[in-house]
Amino acid sequence: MKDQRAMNSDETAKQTRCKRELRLVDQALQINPKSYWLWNHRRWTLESSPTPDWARELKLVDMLLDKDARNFHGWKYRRDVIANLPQRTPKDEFGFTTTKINQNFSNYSAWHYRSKLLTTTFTTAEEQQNAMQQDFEIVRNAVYTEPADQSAWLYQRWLLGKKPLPLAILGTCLLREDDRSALVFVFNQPTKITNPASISLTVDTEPVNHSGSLQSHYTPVHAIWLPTLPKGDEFVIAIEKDAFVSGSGGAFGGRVGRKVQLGDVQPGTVTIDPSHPIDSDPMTISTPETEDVVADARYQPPAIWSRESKSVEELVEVEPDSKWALLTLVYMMKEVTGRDEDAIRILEKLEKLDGMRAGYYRDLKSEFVLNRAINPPQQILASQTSPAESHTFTLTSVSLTSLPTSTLSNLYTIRHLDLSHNALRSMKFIEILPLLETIELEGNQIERVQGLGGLMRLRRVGVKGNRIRGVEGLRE
Amino acid sequence: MSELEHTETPETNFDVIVVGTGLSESILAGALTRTGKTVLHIDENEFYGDHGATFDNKGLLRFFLGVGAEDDTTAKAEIQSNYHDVTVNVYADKIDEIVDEGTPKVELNAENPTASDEASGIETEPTRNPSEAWHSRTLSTIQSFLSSQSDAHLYLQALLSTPVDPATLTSESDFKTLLKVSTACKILRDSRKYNLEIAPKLLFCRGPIVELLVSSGVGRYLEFKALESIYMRWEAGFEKVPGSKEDVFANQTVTLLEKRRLMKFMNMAAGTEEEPSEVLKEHEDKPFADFLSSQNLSPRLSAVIMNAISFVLDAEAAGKLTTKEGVELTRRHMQSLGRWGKTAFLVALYGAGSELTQAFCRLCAVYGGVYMLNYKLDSFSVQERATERPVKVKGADGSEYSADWLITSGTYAGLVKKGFSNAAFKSTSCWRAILIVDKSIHADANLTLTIFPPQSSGRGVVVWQQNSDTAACPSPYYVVYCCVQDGDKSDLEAAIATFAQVASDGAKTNTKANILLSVFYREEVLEPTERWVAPRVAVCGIKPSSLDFEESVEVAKGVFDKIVEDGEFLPTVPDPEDLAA
Repeated sequence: MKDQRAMNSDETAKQTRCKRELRLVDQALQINPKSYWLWNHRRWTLESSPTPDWARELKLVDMLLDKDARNFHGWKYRRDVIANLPQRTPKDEFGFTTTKINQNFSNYSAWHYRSKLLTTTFTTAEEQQNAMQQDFEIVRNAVYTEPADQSAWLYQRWLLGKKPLPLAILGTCLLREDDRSALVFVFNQPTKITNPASISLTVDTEPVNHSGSLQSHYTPVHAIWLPTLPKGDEFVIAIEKDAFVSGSGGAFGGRVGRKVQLGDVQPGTVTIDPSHPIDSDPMTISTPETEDVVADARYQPPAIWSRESKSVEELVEVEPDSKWALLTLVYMMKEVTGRDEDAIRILEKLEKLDGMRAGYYRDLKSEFVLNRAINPPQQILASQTSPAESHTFTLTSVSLTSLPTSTLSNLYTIRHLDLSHNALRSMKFIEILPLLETIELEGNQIERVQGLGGLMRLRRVGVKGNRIRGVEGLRE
Repeated sequence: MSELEHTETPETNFDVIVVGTGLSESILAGALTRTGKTVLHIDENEFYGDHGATFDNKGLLRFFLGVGAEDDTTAKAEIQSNYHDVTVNVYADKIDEIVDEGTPKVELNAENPTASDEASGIETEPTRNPSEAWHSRTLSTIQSFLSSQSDAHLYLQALLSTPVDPATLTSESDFKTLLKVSTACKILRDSRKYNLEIAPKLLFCRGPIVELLVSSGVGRYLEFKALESIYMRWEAGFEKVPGSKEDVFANQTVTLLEKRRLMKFMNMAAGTEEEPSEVLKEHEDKPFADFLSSQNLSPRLSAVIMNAISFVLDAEAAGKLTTKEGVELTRRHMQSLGRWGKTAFLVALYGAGSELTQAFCRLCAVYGGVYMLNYKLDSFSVQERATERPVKVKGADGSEYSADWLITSGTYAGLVKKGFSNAAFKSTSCWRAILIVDKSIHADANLTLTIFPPQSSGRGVVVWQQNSDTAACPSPYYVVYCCVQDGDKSDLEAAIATFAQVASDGAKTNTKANILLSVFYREEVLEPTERWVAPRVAVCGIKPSSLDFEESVEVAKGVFDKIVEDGEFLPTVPDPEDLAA
């Protein structure tokens, strides 16, 4: 036993054993190059080895990716190897992805690795932008060569970037029932409360107990229940760092507070009417500098979006049935206003072209239909009263299948909702409309009555002609 | 030479006698012994390959010009009668020294170094005189070569178009003469490092010959490299042919819309795009050229598809080609992509025709085939009354061999016509050139194929390049093969002038490759109008200019099926290692 231990401490013996282990893994990998545990074991062996030869590993993974350029285990392992090879610069690796993409551009792993390298290879904003513009050209060549290949299309989405959306509170309101009341926050995007204790309320400097949010999932609307309606003049909400996390992964930071004047509140009324917020500006909470914010810097200016969109439109002229070209156009139409009608037309075409994904296209279409109804073109708007004014939103018989909460949260002030005769499968979305008094959902495909728990003012739910099999969240 | 010399009582009866060691005949010889047939395989030449043979430099001179041949010209004439208008020229290599800056002596090369230079329209450049040290060093190189080999003088004189007596050369001699002679000496000294093909060919990666090499196991005797790139001459330059998805993607000169149209066409041809097959059906019997323009393909892309993907290089044939045939040819190319390397082709090491032939002959010998090379023939005949072994082949030495079947290469048309009065042949010919040049004709690749599309009504020229990668020649040189079917020497010269030149005064150039050696010849191939000239006598013959060997396989298979009913054509040869285990 002691000898054994002596040997263990002997670095040379350890190195020999590691080498033997690597040889074993060599052989096993030749039989099965797509095994997670083999690659993990190989990495562990090298990391445990006194003098690991990472350069040899790079050669090995080069060979593997020559034989099978799309083996994602190989790409993952390559990143592990590179992390241990400081002499290999990001620029070298960026060049490597160029080579692989030239060999065969249908390669998610290569594009993905490239996106990771682009920001490390090019450190100034200008260099990055130049590299991205070159890559837009590469993508253009790829999609014109093979529009059916989705890897280049997805890389193009990455290049276009995501519009930075700082987390903001659209409005707050205080709802009151006989025995309790709720403070409701409406955010501009789905968020989650990570720590209810970090939200503290004080009324006239007296702390008030609350129960946190009912919702544990990502939602734009959060209600904070209060045992009784507090009385006082000054109402302060203090939200500590990381109390809310946005759906895109960005977290809150900083401590914010709000002062609200409370009047004489009667039971069953809305104290802080969100349509006339006490503070006329929505309460905006600044997001801190996180990695995501840096990545958001690559959000391309409108000129680039329109250039890219034009190029795709030209491709669609010669390839009117290219699914990915059409879907990309739809994706781009989300970024601009006033293209809802075009997007709906394309999605209807896609539904026919690609029946296997008809449900997906219908869901996407619902989003544009909803958006068109909320932000109608100017000439139509003039003849209608806006939902905010009438407290009523009606959208019937337009085949809605689902409603994205991020768009729906713009309607948080409405009291009467009519979505009859659509194809909605779920009514859970209504939980984000806290002031609803009547809901008409007749003639949909809803299977469960749900989402009613937080709607304190609800008087009527119409669910005739659905496929109701269960009811939840209704109080006795 | 002949194995029969070693036997007391030579076997003279065989199931099949095969004459000529071209590829069709050799595949047949191998396939027949595999079924248990006894085969006698004869060639009048001392080398394998028939009209697809490979030679070193001296061998090439011996073959084309009879240099150093023993005096039996009658038999030689039989073979060489298929090669006409042979011209061999050697030109000066670069001067391998830095010119002495102290005495700059620039002179324009006003004279006309050799007659053929002018005919080629090849430019020359001015240069400087080399130093005295160079003169004496070069002279001693020449002299040491001449004293090293007894037949050196013979070959040297054959190479030098204007006779030079090396004995008269001194260190005072004109440097251009010295340079030219020393280049010729270098070519001869390194003769054995060259493998020059008289009818070079490539192999489609999924063509019938490759499939046969794989399925029969014969491929294990052979080595290949993947062809690196294909180019097409267009306007004043060379363009990489976008032959695959990856090429189309990376191509810098084709516009985006053209890329889309080209890919669409290629997918359609490869059969991977389901829907537009209706378009194809509609055009099936209409001209391919019209179909291409109906697909909105630019003239340039149409030329790419017609000439460099389908390899239809004859303007007239291109005009007649139907869409169905054109798509078929495109598919042949597309299907060979992505198996090995970046193009659809393999290049055989050491010369395709000769190596492939020997691989099949080796198989034949392993299964009991008897070989007689360098065996001169006198006549073929069939004794129609005879019930057994009616076919007779008589040697020039008077021996007679009998068989049930006779298969011969078209090269022996003379004997066939003599023996079978009804045998008729049609002659096709092509002009070929073999060049040794000092650098690659394309900057970024060694093993290349270059297509020169036909001018308005002419013939397109095909140019292959190989180098030490395929053992065609020693580094740093390159071998360039050129071929034009039914065309003229001037077609070749015009093509060559775009990528190579003669700098007889040793000038270094950064643009075109310098030619060291050029061999021009017209090859005539006789194809039988009927394959079976008698009930038991078949003549193999293929078009000389076809790019790969697929026709050889078809011919061999057709003849085989007639001789062996229901026999398996070249089943897999057991691996010796498997047998040992």
